[in-house]
Amino acid sequence: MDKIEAKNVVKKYGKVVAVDDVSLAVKEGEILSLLGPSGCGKTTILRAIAGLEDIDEGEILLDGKVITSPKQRLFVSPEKRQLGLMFQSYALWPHMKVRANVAYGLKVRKYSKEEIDKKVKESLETVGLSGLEERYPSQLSGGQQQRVALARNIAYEPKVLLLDEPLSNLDRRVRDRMRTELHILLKRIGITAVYVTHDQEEAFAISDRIILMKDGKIVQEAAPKELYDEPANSFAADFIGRANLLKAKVLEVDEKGKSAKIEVPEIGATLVCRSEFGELPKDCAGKPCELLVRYNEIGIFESKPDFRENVIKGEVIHRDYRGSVTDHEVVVGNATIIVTSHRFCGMSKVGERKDVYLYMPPEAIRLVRGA
Amino acid sequence: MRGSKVPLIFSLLFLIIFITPIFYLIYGSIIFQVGGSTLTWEALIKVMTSARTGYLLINTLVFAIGGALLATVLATTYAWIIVRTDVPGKRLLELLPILPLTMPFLVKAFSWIYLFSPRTGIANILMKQFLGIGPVFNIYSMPGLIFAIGVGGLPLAYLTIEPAVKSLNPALEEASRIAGNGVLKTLFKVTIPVLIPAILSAFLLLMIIGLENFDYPFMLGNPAGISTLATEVYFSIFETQPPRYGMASIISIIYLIMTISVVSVYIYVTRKTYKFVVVTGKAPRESVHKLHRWKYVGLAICFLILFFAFLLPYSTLVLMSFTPFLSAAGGNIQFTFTLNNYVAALNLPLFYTALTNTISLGLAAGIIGTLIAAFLSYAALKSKVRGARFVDLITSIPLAFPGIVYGLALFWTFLLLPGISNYIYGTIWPLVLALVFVRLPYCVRMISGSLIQIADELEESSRVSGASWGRTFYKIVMPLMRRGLLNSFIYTFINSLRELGAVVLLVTAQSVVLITLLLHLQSQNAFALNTVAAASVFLSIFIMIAIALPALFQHLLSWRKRKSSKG
Repeated sequence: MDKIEAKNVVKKYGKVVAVDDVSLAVKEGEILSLLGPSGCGKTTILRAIAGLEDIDEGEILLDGKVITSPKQRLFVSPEKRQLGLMFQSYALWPHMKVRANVAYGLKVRKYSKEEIDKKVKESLETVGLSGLEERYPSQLSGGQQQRVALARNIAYEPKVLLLDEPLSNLDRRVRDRMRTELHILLKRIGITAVYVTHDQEEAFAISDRIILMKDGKIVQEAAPKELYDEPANSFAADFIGRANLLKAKVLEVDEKGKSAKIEVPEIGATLVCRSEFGELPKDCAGKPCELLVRYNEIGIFESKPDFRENVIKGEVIHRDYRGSVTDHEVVVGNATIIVTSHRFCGMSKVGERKDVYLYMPPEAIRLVRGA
Repeated sequence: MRGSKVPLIFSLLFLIIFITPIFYLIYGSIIFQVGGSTLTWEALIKVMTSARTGYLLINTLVFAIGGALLATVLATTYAWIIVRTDVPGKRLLELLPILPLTMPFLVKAFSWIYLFSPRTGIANILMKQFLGIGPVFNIYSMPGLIFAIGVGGLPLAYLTIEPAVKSLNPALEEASRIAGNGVLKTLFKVTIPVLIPAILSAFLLLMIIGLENFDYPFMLGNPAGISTLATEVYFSIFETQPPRYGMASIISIIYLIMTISVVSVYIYVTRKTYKFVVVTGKAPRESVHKLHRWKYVGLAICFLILFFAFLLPYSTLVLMSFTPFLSAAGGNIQFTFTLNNYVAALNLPLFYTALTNTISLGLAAGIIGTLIAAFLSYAALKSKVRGARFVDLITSIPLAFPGIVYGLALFWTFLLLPGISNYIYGTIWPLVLALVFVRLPYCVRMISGSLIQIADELEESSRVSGASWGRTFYKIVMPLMRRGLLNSFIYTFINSLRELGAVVLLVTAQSVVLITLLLHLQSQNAFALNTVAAASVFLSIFIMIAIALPALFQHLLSWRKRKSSKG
């Protein structure tokens, strides 16, 4: 049985459809991310699961029991759902000390004083904040506050932990560290979690499975690796990794369906594309589609490299030096292609030269349907 | 978040308890005869088109508009001087405009009478003595009335305008100065136009207060034969045999039509500021006009304003309380010092009753009013149900009710509702109801200011953690609203001691309160004046304590909190 199930959920705000017939299931013990740009509906679904929002159509179930159903006029109030929710703004109660914040859910459940003290201590230890019980939230750093928010949620052992962009308010270093810690922590506790974020890297680091959303609809549902390697359409491709997208036309596909010749009018070249994973999307044959190649999977050279195919000439119009990597903006024909080169990468031998040669390995080229 | 129904149910209850009396008011105008006819429409039209009504309306309007103008001008001048110039002593000057609140309007009226009564007023006598000129100023006149309520309205006007002046961006004025305009020109061409929204809302608020005021027209207008709608209601019932209840009700309805119009304008003008009472907490950088020698002129102006608003009336009151009577033998004034007045005041038969009633009234109205305002404010701001807007509107209804009109409405209710009068008569509960109602819009605004700063997420995280709506309200929302709740309580408490119009029709011998006691004392005889002064001083000291105590308490609390969280 799935831990959480959402069936054909629709939520409208006036004329705007925030969630458009979304169905999903969360398995026990898994960490699922809802990933997407602002306004895609991911937070709305999370809040609907938490009981903080109503829905217009559809059903939400927890442990097989219906908790929200407009049709049955059923709505279980948030305090009865036994869930936890971590907010982007931490939402720690400023007038209560850390101890009182963490103990809150336990007090509501009428645990004894000794039990409460024990669980508070344990929770704070788990998140690495022992000894800070007597502080007020305003006396803690952002990272510490976030940990208190986590401790507060896990103290009363909720069925599912919901997280609403919990790391967005932290600065970059702390965020990167926290996201690894969070993943380790969640796995150690073994809790089921639904994580909402707009940051692709974060979703990849934390989740077992990702649901990518746009404009209230689900675009793709997959594990991180599959999402990266086989994006369902150009939106997915663009959102997931930094990628160049060019319009392309498939000219011919070989019998085994493993490689194809594609014409790319914008750069005035014909490229060969080879699939690593199986068959190329068959429905691209003869139809216009889009070609996807990631910034960091293109070779850039000062002199013409020795490859049989997929070598094109271009002119660098801008370089974005970022320390260990450099982004080169290269104009090829009518398109601008961005290439990321690493300092010691064998595929990048280029200094400050304007005229360069680009090489796109056939396996790095993917075909996607238009979004 | 899906809201709880509790706040809305509460609002409905509020409607029932507090709005019902209004229907009785209308009912009361139907069942009592007016001028021989029992048909309410006829009677209403007759009264509405009578010359007397026109006269009352004009008087009321002139009084209110004049007073509002005066108060607004004084408050704006004062606020601008202390905020935007380098006048010395700012920290003290900032707090002083609150002082006049310690004198109820009625008590200030007494002082003005002591000073500017045409024949026996001290100021007039002194002027005659030293300058040989006739009565300088007769307080029993329309100018007198306007003066009284104008300076009396200073605190409220100041409290409305000062924050707006404080949040002015100095860059606006600086740009004008750089362009070559002097200080005064900048003031009139840049500052005032920018401040117009705040000035306008202060003006309207004061106009509403002036329209609804009973104290000054009663004490200062009546002896000169000047009547307003408020005094007309009162005198239709008291000092008329037989009491003309029907007339009182009809006048009240006409009164209401006028006040509702003005209040509607006020609500429209301030509709946005209501929701954004929050101070952003960032004061723009301090940049003031340097007045050099002129800053002493500024200081003098502030002092002058404070002099008339507080110093003069208060010192006169204290003076009168320490003299047995004023003897002006041979055209000279003689002061003799005595404590007899205080002794007499304490020995008044109803003094202690009045004192205990007043304290109980203040506490009850403060607590009940604050609780109701908290629920209503929550319903208006946080219940994401459609009724929220509606609640917003009903909390503004009391603004349109002159105290005396609502007092009359309650009067009818207790008279006509079967059974209730047995339990209520003689207790302070009618007074509590009246005061809670009259002060509600202000309390709701104060509390909203705090409530709006509480992020929804703080409640949401409490609900998800397992707490019900009620528990969340009690453990999370209310503690975080502390400031607003406290302000609302203090405000209601203090105003319970000052309010006359709402209570004057409802007091009985057992439920007498200090302010009505003063009123009845004063009407007895001239010699009682000094006793009244003594009793008034008591009342004002009482109010001062009520203002100072919470401030001290706050300081104590924050000092302790700082100590304990240093660990």
